This record gives sequence, C-alpha cells and structure tokens, in this order.
Amino acid sequence: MSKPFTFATGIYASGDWESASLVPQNVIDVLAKYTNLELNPSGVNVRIDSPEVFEYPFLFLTGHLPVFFTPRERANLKRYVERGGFLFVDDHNHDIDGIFHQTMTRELEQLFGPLKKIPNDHRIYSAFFEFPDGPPTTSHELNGWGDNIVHDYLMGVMDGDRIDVLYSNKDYSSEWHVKLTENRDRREDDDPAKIAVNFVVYALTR
Amino acid sequence: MRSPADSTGRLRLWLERVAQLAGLALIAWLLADSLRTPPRGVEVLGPDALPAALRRWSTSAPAERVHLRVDGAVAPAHREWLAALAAAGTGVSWEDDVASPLAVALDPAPDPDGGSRVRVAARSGTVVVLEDELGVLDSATASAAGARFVTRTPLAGVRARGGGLGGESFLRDSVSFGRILLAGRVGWESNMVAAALEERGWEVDVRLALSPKGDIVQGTTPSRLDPSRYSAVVLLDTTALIEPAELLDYVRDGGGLVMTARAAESPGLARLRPGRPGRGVEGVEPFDTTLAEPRRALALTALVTATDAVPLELRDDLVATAARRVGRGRVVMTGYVDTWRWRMAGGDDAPEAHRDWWADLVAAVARVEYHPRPLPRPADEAPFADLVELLGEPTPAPPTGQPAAEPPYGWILAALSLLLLAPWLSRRLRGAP
Amino acid sequence: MKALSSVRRARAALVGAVGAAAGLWAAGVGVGVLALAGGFDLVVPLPYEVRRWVVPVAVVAAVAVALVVGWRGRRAGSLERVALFLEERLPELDYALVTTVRPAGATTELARSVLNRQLERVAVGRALGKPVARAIFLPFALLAPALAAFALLPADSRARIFEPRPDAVVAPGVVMAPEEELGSRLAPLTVRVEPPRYVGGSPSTLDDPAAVAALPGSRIEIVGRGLRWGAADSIVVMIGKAVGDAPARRLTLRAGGDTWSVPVTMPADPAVVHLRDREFERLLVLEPIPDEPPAVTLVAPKSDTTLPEPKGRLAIDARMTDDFGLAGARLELLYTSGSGERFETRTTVLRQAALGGRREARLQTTLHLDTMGLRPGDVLHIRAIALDRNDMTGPGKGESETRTIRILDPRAVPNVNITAASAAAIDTSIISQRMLIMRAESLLARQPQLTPQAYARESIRLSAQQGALRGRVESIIHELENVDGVGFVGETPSSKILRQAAEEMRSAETELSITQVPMAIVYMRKALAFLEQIREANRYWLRGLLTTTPVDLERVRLTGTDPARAAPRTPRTRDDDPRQALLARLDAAIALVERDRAAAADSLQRVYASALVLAREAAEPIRDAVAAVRGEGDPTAALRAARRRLERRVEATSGLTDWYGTP
Repeated sequence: MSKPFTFATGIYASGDWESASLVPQNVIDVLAKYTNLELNPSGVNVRIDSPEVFEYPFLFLTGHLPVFFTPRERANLKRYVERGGFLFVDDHNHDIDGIFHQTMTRELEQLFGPLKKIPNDHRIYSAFFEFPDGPPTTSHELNGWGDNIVHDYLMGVMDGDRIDVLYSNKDYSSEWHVKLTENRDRREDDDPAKIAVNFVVYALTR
Repeated sequence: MRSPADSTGRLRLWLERVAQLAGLALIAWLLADSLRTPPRGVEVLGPDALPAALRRWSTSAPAERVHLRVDGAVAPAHREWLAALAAAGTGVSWEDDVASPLAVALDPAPDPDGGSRVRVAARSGTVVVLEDELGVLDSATASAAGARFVTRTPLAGVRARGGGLGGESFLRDSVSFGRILLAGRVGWESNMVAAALEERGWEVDVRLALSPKGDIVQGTTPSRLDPSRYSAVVLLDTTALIEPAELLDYVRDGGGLVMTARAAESPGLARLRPGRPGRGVEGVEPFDTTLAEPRRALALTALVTATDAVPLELRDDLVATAARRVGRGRVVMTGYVDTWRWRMAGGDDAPEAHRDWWADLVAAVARVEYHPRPLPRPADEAPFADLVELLGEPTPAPPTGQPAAEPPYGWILAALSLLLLAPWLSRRLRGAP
Repeated sequence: MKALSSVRRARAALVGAVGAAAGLWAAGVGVGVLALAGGFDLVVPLPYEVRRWVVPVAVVAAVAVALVVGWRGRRAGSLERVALFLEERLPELDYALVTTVRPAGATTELARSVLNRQLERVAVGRALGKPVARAIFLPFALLAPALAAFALLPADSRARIFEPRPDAVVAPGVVMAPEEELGSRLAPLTVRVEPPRYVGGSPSTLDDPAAVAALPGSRIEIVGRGLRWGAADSIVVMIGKAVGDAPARRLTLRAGGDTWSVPVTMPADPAVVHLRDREFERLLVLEPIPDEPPAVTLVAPKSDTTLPEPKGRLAIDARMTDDFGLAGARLELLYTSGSGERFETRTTVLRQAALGGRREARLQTTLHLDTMGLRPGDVLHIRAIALDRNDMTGPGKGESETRTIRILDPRAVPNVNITAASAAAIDTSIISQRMLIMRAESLLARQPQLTPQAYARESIRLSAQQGALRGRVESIIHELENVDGVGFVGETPSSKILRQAAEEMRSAETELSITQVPMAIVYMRKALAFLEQIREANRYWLRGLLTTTPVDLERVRLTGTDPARAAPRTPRTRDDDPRQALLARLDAAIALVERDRAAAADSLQRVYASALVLAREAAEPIRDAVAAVRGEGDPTAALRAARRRLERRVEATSGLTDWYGTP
C-alpha cells in the first residue's frame, strides 16, 4: 500500500512543460540500477495548480518558453516547498539569459527569495555518487549549444545548507531526453543520468 | 429580756453574715465552674462558616464534636486546622456534598519542544475547567478516565475546577532527553518523519537502507542500543540494519519503540509488537483536506492486537494504533501508511499536526529522565483525597444533642455584687467598721 | 486762621514725605535684596532652595523697612509736633506757632495779628525743604542703583529669581545634586508626521504618542520642551531596528529657545526611538505602514487560449487601482517563436499611459492577429503592469496574470487541452450528474409506494434538473470553442466529448419528461462516462505525445556497476520560535507592571515593536496594554489577550497521550 517514489513532471500553464518527456524513464532506470528504492516504473505528469501535486514530493519542471505562473500555481508551489517538497527546475534551453531562465528565475525568486550558488562541495554531489567537481557537464554544454558556456555550478533556494529548490541551466533535460535504449548503449561511466541519483537520494534524505 | 430593737439588730447581723457567706459561696462556685469542662453538643456547619468557627474554637472552648458539610472547596490551611483540632480531642467528622471529587496533576511532556500534560481525575460527565494565572485555558467534559489536556506552552502551574471543587498543581520536574534512532528505508516517510522529529527538537540518529553500495546514516553507530542513549527507536520498515534481538533487549531494558505495521511484518519482532498487521484500507487520493479527522485520508493497515496490548486509536472498528509494555519498556505500533501525505497534502495546520502526532507517538514510549524542581508554594492537587487522609472517610452527620444551658452569668454577677455590697452597706449604716 | 493753616500745610507735607520715604526705602530694600541675590547667583549659582526664598525675603524686608520708617515718622501727623518742628527751625517765631496750636487761653485778636505778621516774615517752606528732601533723597539713592543693578542682570538670572525652577544642568557637565527635584523633558512630546510628497496628504500632529504609524519615507519630527532649565547636551536620541542586532544610530537634536526637536524619516521596517535625558528614558515605536503596489487585473483576454489560426482581433482590457495613486501603466506582449532548441523572443509594449496619480485606471487595446506575422506554434504572452508614485521605497509595481495565447501547430499531436476553469466546471458537473443518477434510481425504487401523479411530478422535476446541467455543460463547450473578441475558433477534442455528453443528457431529459425513468438512467450513465473521460484526460493534461514508457524495474534492478558511497545525512536544525522569546519578554514586562509602571511601559513598547515584525497578530493587544499602563489604566485584559495570542494552544485531548506508560 505504501506509495513508491514517483518521478513527477509539473504541468504549468504558460510554457512547454512537456518538452523533455523522455526524462522520467531515464531517471527511473538509473535509480533502479543502483538503489533499492521502491519506484513507480512510470513517471506522472501533474498540474502544479492541482491538489494532486502534493502527492508527489519530487517535482521536475523544464521548458524553453517564457514562464508566467498563475496565482494558483504560485500558491501551490510555495506551499509545496514549505511543506517539504523538492523542486528540480532545469532550463531546457541551456541559456543563461534566455527567456526561460529570465522568467523562471524571476518567478522562483519572487516566491522563495534569491537563488544562491550551490557550492560544489555540497552534500548533494556526494549523496550517492561522488562528483568532486560539482555538477557534471552535459554534452550540450560541451557542444556549444545555447549560450556556448559551461555552467559550472547549480543554483538553489536554500534553508541554511538544505536545498529546497534546485535550479539548473546545464540543460539536463536535453541530456536525459533520449530514448532509453540509446542511453543504455552508452558506456555506463558516461551515463549522464547518474547525477539524477544524487538529486533524488538527496531529496529523499535531506 | 430582749427588746425588739435587739432582735432586729441580731437579725440584721445574721443577715449580713449570711449574705457574706453566700457571696463567698458564689465566688467559690464561679471558680469551680471556670475549671469545669462545659457540657458539649455537636456543631454542624458548612465550609462558608468554617473560618469564623475555627477562630472561635481556637480562642474559646470548642464544641465537643464538629461535623462539616463539604459542598465546596475547603482551603488547605483550614483542612490542616481541622486535623489539628481533631488531634486536640475535638471529634471532627464530615460529609461530602460535592458533585465530583477532583484531582489534578501537571507533568512535563516527554517532548523536547516543551509543554505540559495535565491530567484531571473527576467523575464522568463533570465539566472541568483548566486555568492559569491569566484565566481560563480550556475546558473539557471528563470521561471515565477523567480529562486530559496537552499544551505546548510551558506551564509553571495550573488550577482545575469542576464539580464544586478546585485543585492546583505545579510542575514538579524538569525533563532531560536522550536521542532517537530512526531506522527503515530511504523514502518519503523516513524523510518526513525524521524532519518532523528534528523540527520538534529531538536529536535523531538515522539508519536507512538504500543500496548495497551504501546506506544513509546519521550519527554514530553504537555497538548496542542503550536506553540511556536512545530515548526511543522509531522503526518504519523491515530492515536488516537493526537486529530484532538487539531491539528486544533494548526495550526490555526500558527503551521505547515506535513501529509501523510494515516494520512489524518482520518475524523477529513478533515478541515486541502489540499486534500483527491485519487488513488494509485504501487511503483517499488526492488527500481530502476537509476531513475532520485528517488521518482518515491515509491508507491504513489495521492491527490485530495482542491480548496484552492497549488500543490507543481506532478508525471505525479497526485498531489503528496500539501499545504494549514489554519488560521495563513500551512499544507503540501504528498501522497508518505514508503519513508524509498528511504533512504534504493536508490542511493548513497539517505540518504542525503531523509533527504533533509523531511527537505524541514517541512521547508515549520515550524513556526520559525526570529531575525534581522546587515548587513556588505547596500544591493542592487532590483536595478531596487530602480531606480523607486528614479527617477520615466522610460519614453521615451524628445526631445533635442538646447542649447544656449556660448559667446566667449576668444575673450571677448581679447577685454577687448585691451579696457583697449589701452587708457592707448595712455595716456602714449602723456605724460599724 | 493763617498760622493754623500753615501748620496744617506743613503737617501734610511732612506726612507725605514720611510716606514717600517709607515707600522708597521699602522699594530700595526690596530691589536691593533681589539685585543682591541675582548678582550673587551669577557668580555662585544659588541652589533652588535658596532662590525660592529670595522674593519672599525681599517683600518681607521691604514691608519691615516701610513700617520702621513709618513708625519713626509718626509724629509728623501731630500738629503740635509739626509746630515744634517748625519753631526749632524758625526761632524767630518765638513759639508763637505752638501757642497757636495749643493755646493756653483764648487768643486775642492782637496776638493773632502779631503771629500772622511774624509768619509773613519767615519762609515756612524753607524750614521744610531740607528735611523733606533729605528724607526722600536717601532712600532714592539706594533705590536707583538697586534698580539699575537689577535691570542689568541677565534675563535668565532675573527669571531664576522671579520664577525659580529646579535646575536641569546648571552648566555643561554639571549635574544638580540628587536631592534636587528634577523634571523630565521627555514628556509630553509632540510628534509631527508629514507623509511623503507623492501621497499628497497634509501633515498631522500626535500628542505624546507611544507609537507612530506612517508610510515609509514620511518625515517625522519629535518635539519636546524644557531647554530653558538646562542645556540640550544631556538629551540623547537613538534609533534602532525593532528586531535584530544592528547597532542603534544617534539622531541629531536641534535646539531653539525652549524647544528641542529630532527629525527622523520613517524606515521601511519597524524601529524603536530611544530618548534619554539624564535618568529619564522614553521609547517611541515607529511602525511603517507599507504602501501596497497597484492591483492589476487583466479583464480580457479572460483565459489562456489556443487559436487554430492567427486571424481576427483580440481585445485586451486591463483595470488597475492603487491606494495612493498610479504613476503609469502599460500593456506588454511577449512573443515567442521557434521549436526544438531554437526560440526567439520579442517583447513589445502595446500601449502605455501616464496616469497622473489617479487611483483607478483602465487600459485597453486590440491586437490584430492577421497583421502580426504569426506562425503555427507561436506563443503570445500578454500582461498588464502598473506603477505607483512611491518615490521613497518604490515605485511599487503591480502585475496582472499573464495570458498565454498559442497558435495551434497542426504538426503537433491533437490534444485534450482544457482550461483550469473548465476542468473545475467538469468536476462539478460530474458530481451533479452522479446525484441525478442517484435520485433517478431512488425514484425508481420508490415507484410502488408513489401515486402515478407523484411519480410523474418527481420525474419531470429530475428532467428539469438534467436540462439545467446540460445547459452548464453546453456553456463549457461554448467557452472551449470561442475566444472573447474573436468568436468561434473551432471544436476541440474536449468540446467534442462534452458535446456527446450533452447529447446523452438531452436524451435523458426527454425520457424523464415522459416518466421513462429506467431509459433515462441509461442515458444519464452514458453522459457520466463521457464526463469522466474528460476528467481522466485532464488529470494528466496530455499535450503532445508524452510519457512515460514504464521501465522494466526487475530487469535492471541493481545492475549498475559504478562505485558509489552515500554521504551521511545531516540533521535538520530546529528553527527557534521567535514567538516563544517574545512570550518570555512579555512575561517579564508583566511582572514589572506592579513594581514599576514606567519601566513596564518601556518594556512593553519594545515587545510591541518586536511583535510588529515577529508576531503581528499579538501587536494590537500589546499596543493596547502600553496605552493602559502609560495612562494608569488596567492593562490586565490587553496583557491577557496578548499572551494568549503568543501562547501555543492548549487542547483537551483524548488521543495517544491517554495511554500513560508512566515513568
């Protein structure tokens, strides 16, 4: 009867929330490979303005387009994080001044206060796998997509040392939005989704 | 031959002497009367008349017997006074006319966040009002087990009123706590239960199973579970991280154990658990925030309780939470599943209510140390019981005898004055010295 | 008779001279005492206890001197004495005057004429002149310099003699002895509040307040009196935050005549002004009232929309209001075009206006979609922004909700997109339809007990209710298929399904109207099924091809080979409840009320200032308690209310704590 860990993608009104639809299965796959977590084999999509969002304490938001939350969405997200939910937001554009980044960070800062740089020796980078240099670089960064910059840190809304909202403009959404079979064809030590294990384990144990 | 004048004179002399003798006799009688124990009856009075009566009995001769009709509070000082009176020889009896005897006790909550528990013993149906120095705090109707109050605000003292009586209690002890060991699997339940307990002020060690490559720990790992280190162990899942035998020893030595129905599935815990997991009841999704009992939205594994277990919480006919003593320790088991949903999806006060509930679970079993502290003044926790202890059980009023009438001292004084003055006057009138 | 009248005149002159001399001597002595005291006070400041007796002593001395002089000159009132006085100075009169005044016998006519001739030969006035002049000149010689000396004293010194007050600070750094009676110059205070210019309000004055509430940026002037009794050096005014460890800052004090003043600007956060003058202290709480930003509502478009084609006109209508006046507003359009990883964004201001301080305004415009060069897949975000005139802490900026207008991309997979409002309406419709089915089933079950007329009546009532529900579903269909200002934009997959539901409802309605309840129930259930189909789709709001092929967990479980080592968890820290600290401070202040009301008022003011930041719900009763304590009223009720609001609740319980595994 106990609910397994479910990867939830947030549906919001203003942008293209659905742009990285293959991310859930890649994350679930790597979680199953390395942990005994009870997992929902499928991800779910859930409206962030609905009461159902509170049934999924791990929520993934992504997109390319401008983000303007509705009042209901804002109220829900604020309550969600205050109660212990973990929000992971990734800029699918890989842009530092792109419109998703501008508008999403503005919305997050209005709700939660300023986004802070997460130090690269933070516990999230050793929550399961060791990432001594901080967040791993994505192939999109290396290939110069987007703003042609390698972003060497992630940002977050933090309560002391505890991360409540994780914000990335490293474009993990592109990195993990591949067919599962393709992903498995890669060498395992290149599995770019391994950092997702850290994100999820950290969210579950913070 | 005697003349009529001589006769008169002798009669006069005789009368003078008789009067003097009579006066002396009267003085002797008065002296004897002052030394005599006066004849006594029974005084029957209520508590309102008691203060004045006590003063009177203490400053002049008391009644032979006193019977008190108690229909309200008798102050501790007056109770002591009555006991002293009884010890001095006055028969003191009493009968009660109160709606309900009452006793109150204030204890610190075994909760690092502070707060107190107040227990009030009163007859079922009595409305009990709880007050502090500023006024009323709350009220409740006593059940068969009395009335209970919990507060997160530290209370130094409380008064309870009900059934015509009132009692006062002070916090007698302060509390020191050990740590909590939380064990289970990595998941939202362990995440939010640990958060709730830490937010409540508990220091929590954690052992959570995650992967063959590594588990999540927090705090040092002692070689054995020691009740002096851990006030309680919270077991959320079946896990190999704690040996059942070790848990059994810990509880028998006085430790507290909180376990879920899921954890109780482990066969090694059969000797500890207050019951075994029974049938499951689905929860409500999404969480219904309008429910008066928010936990009804949670899934539940009903408990089939052991014979020596005490059901603590029911949902309809099903036992949701039960407790049991094992050796010197206590075990509480709850069948609720994924209580984290309550914290995340519940109503406006859900996070605090979730914390409160888990803190109560732990408080029901936690082994803590109590340290006496001085009281600002003597408490009066059980006024009725105190009266019984001092004066014995209540009895019906004895038959009241007629007390003997007092001599008319006023007339006696007048007569004495006459008997003493008249002879003197007579002597003076006749020129005698 | 001439001689007698001469003596009488001489007597009058002498009496006048005595009176004048007495007066002048009295004035001279009195003023002399005052001048002497004032002069002495200049050199060696006289204590208050001495100065308060100077005037009475001068008066007493003056009166005494006047009496003495008058007594000594009392014989001037006797004719005989005056006559003798004159005879002494005019021997040539040969005692004729005395004889006239006190005749031994009758005076003959001859004697009188002889006397008159003698009087004519002498100057009686000459005999009086010198004595009178001397009698007046001497006291005048005392009075004049005394007056001059007194007039030359500084006004303050004269005031110290005539209006003696306990000294504040006699000289810089010199403090009066503690046994002196000292007054506080911190009460009463007057506080002038001038709101920021942009508000346009007029200044107000508060008399001796404990707290000042005003907009941030308001100019506040705290004014006190009492500088004439001592220098302003001992008055120190500091301002500090109500909460926090930031050090307090000293404010500049201005002195002018008897008044002193301290200007301060209302900060953005609550603050406490601490005034101190020697051993006197006082607090003043500054409570900023925030200027709310404008409220902006986008009236049109009403909701997010997907347009099948970029055609038509889109009306945009925004309403805005502000508490103190709007400065300006604009309608913004954010246009995004692109796909995959390539997007372009452009921001355009569709309309803007300067609003000149109006409290309400409306901004409208129309988008001509045909002329915008929109392409399938493009997205328009529309919002309204308004600014207020707050030039102190702002300007305050209000934004409306953003409406998203999408141009349908036919290459995208059809979707069941539905708006939030429609989703809510569908949920309600489902509940209503379930109720209707229950009622129809119940009616069917009761049919044997009902008369045919009653049965028909019930059935027809259910028909009407089904019709009403169908109407609501049709209005949802209309919402989905129409856009305000544009009109019908086409069917959506959701509206198609809802249309089917509405058709089933119509059939049920018809059957119920002819009391064919069993048949109606069949149609009603079909309608319900269609509604639930929409709802189920709505739960996961599929747009595009999505999700989420299940992962074969069993196959992959623990097949990973990379090394890992989970880091230890770090404990959560428990946040200190600021309300508990506030409660402890309140309890300490309550304990002071009986012992020292002034100190209790100060403590309560500090607690009030902190409560404005930490526990606003308790601020009001604390403020009431401050007013009661300062005004000698009974603060019990207010303190009780404040304490209860800070305390955590007490609850009667029958929960887990019933089981007392007692220690």
